[in-house]
Amino acid sequence: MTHPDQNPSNPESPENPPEALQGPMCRHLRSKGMYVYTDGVDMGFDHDYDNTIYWCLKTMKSFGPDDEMVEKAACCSSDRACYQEI
Amino acid sequence: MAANSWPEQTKLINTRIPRLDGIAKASGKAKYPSDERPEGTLFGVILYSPHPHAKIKSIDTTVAEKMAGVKAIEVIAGPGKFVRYHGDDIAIVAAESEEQALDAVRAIKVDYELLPHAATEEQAMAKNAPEVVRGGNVRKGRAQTTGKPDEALQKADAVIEAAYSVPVVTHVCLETHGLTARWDDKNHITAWASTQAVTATANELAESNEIPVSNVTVLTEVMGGGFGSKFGADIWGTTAARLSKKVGGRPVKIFLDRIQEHLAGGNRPSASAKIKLAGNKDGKITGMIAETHGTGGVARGAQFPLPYVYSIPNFKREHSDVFVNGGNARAMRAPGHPEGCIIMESAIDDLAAKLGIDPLEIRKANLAPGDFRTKIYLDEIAIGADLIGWKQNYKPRGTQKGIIRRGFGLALHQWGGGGANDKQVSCTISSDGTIELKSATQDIGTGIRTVLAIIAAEVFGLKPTDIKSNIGNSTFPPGQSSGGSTTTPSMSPPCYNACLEARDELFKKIAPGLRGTPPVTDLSLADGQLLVKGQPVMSFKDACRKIGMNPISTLGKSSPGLASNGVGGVQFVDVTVDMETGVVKLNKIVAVQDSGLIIDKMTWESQVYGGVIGGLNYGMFEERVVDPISGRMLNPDMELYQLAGASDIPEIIVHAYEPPEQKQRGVIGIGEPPTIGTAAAIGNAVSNAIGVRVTHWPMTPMNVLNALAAQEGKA
Repeated sequence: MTHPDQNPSNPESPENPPEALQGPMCRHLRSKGMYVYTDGVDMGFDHDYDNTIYWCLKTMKSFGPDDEMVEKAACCSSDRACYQEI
Repeated sequence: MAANSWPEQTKLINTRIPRLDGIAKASGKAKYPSDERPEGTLFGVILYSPHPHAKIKSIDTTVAEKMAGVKAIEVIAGPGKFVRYHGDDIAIVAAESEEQALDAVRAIKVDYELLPHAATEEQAMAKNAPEVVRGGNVRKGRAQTTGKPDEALQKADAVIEAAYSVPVVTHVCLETHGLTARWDDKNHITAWASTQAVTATANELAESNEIPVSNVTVLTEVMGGGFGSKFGADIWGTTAARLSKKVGGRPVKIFLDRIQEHLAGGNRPSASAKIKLAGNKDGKITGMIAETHGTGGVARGAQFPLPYVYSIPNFKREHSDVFVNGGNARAMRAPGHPEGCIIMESAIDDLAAKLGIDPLEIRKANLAPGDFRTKIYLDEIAIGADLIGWKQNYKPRGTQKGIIRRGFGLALHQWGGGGANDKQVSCTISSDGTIELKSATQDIGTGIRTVLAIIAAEVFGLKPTDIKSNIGNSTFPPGQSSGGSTTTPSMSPPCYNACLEARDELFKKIAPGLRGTPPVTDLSLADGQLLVKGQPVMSFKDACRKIGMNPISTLGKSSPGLASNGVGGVQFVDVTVDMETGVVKLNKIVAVQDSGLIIDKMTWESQVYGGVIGGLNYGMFEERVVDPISGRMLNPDMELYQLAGASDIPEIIVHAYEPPEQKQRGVIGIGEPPTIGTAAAIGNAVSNAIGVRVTHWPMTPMNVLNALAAQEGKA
């Protein structure tokens, strides 16, 4: 399935590469896109408007058990005490 | 064998069929999740933060615990935890009645350490602002640059420099967020949830309660709207399950009240842009430079597409998400697109006015070369212009006189709407002639239950009302979560394949027993009859009796060719504006929309009407108003949070753009697209009428008068 915003009329030439992920996502990270776009669309780009709002299954909020914000780039590192690899 | 195209000749598909549950919904007979009262239900009421930012020093529930009817209390934000917005959850009380739970909530004592807040974008972006999120309140996105925008602006015949903004708007689903959870035994949960995703809700209830997902049943027979805000179990759902466990499995019902719905049920982020747009006298846009920002509260999500729709060879854009102490954003019908559409369509309209070009023509001149949507847009613009009477009625901006002025505007939009290819539908034919479909998808109001029944009825030569179209149960075969306009294109292909396979299996089973033992290729179904070589030989029910006691059961999967992705769409608006009061009256809206093969024209039109009405609310009325001093939302109700009443809704003309090549594309979703362009087109129509751009949405009298005052140098 092509993501809704993959639009050939709007080419993007980002000056910076997409945010680098330090490892696999935490098993408790969730977003709408994970439930809707189930066939492998890469998520996390700035134009991926459905997928920049995250919540944590441990808190069901946009902040994790450590009171830090949850998002893809921040929830992929074992540096975070609450991180659990998927 | 799975199909790779839809039938060319159809009796039901692509016609107007009333939704199967329409009468039940209209009469009040339909039982929504919030109507469910399983035996022994306890009622959960939420204690939420009255402060925009505070640390919980202590919380005392001892008095509340002893109050009449109170069965359990679950603390969400205990000592040491933070609350980050007005409405943030602190604790939930479960009691025998809602009133008892509310009384107990009032008896909970919370000692707060009040912290400085930044509840508005201005506060959050100010120097030395209180930090909402560690690392700063402004999160810069990746800069985008294409071509040489600075050079393009220098060489252009005309450049407009403008600022546009649209506020945060909250989700206002008719049925608020929530669910009722019951532990059936120590390992199984049943939940009645108002959700767009029964499987996601089951997944989250299972994970949070550490039981297998197969032990959770989530039921959503019907539900009262979600618009992107109802994915997953939410804190209220997981807490309902915890409370139910505490009280020995009794069902616990937690649904937000209307105030909480505005505060914590999610919102569409704001969007602000400072933009320069350059173009030449031939109408070609040559460059754009934009700085944009928006807030999704204590979450991201404020990014939006820009440039939007049009091909701009040279552009530079920087975007920032701003964190504020406000309820967090959730996906809202076409996430990002209405905001991007407003910014882009305002700028292109203002550039057209400066260049003295008809707004229609500048749009046609800047469609993307080589994009499959370009021809669609050109056709749709021509159709829409004809339906709104553009040629007869349009007058250039600033040429009207008098107190009452009429204006016309338009906007283009686009969306994906493709389907997932991993979903399934089961089809069972019983010997009594019953046809039963099952899938773990849900009807969020789009009519998918009816769409599936239409497809089955088409295949079996029956009426849609003959089909048992069972959805809204997480234990059924995997179905699509309803988001991104993906439900119909995800579910129609597996439904069609399941029905074709079941029909073929039926023919195989009964052909040997028919007079003359005809080959299965001679069999067909129509009008409730089994036909041999086109001649009726018996009723469908009688034919099914011949399959014996064991039903035929198939599981359909998706196959290429039945669904597609990518739509355009254009909307035109006709308004009248009173120059003295600033009151805007909508006269007419025209929506021309493509979306591939339309299965049910009636539910399709219903989606477009609903999308346009949602869009006109965004364009005319909606705004989350926050008091910067207290940090509280001032209008979390249905009196001051304004939505259109019946008399605010004008004539809406819905035109389905569906030439043969559209039908050949297969099924594409329609939920998102028709809500995208309305607010932008309204803004353009108002500006056309009054001769000056209203830079801030919605088009309230105050914003209109402010724009007129600014023009006169009085703002």
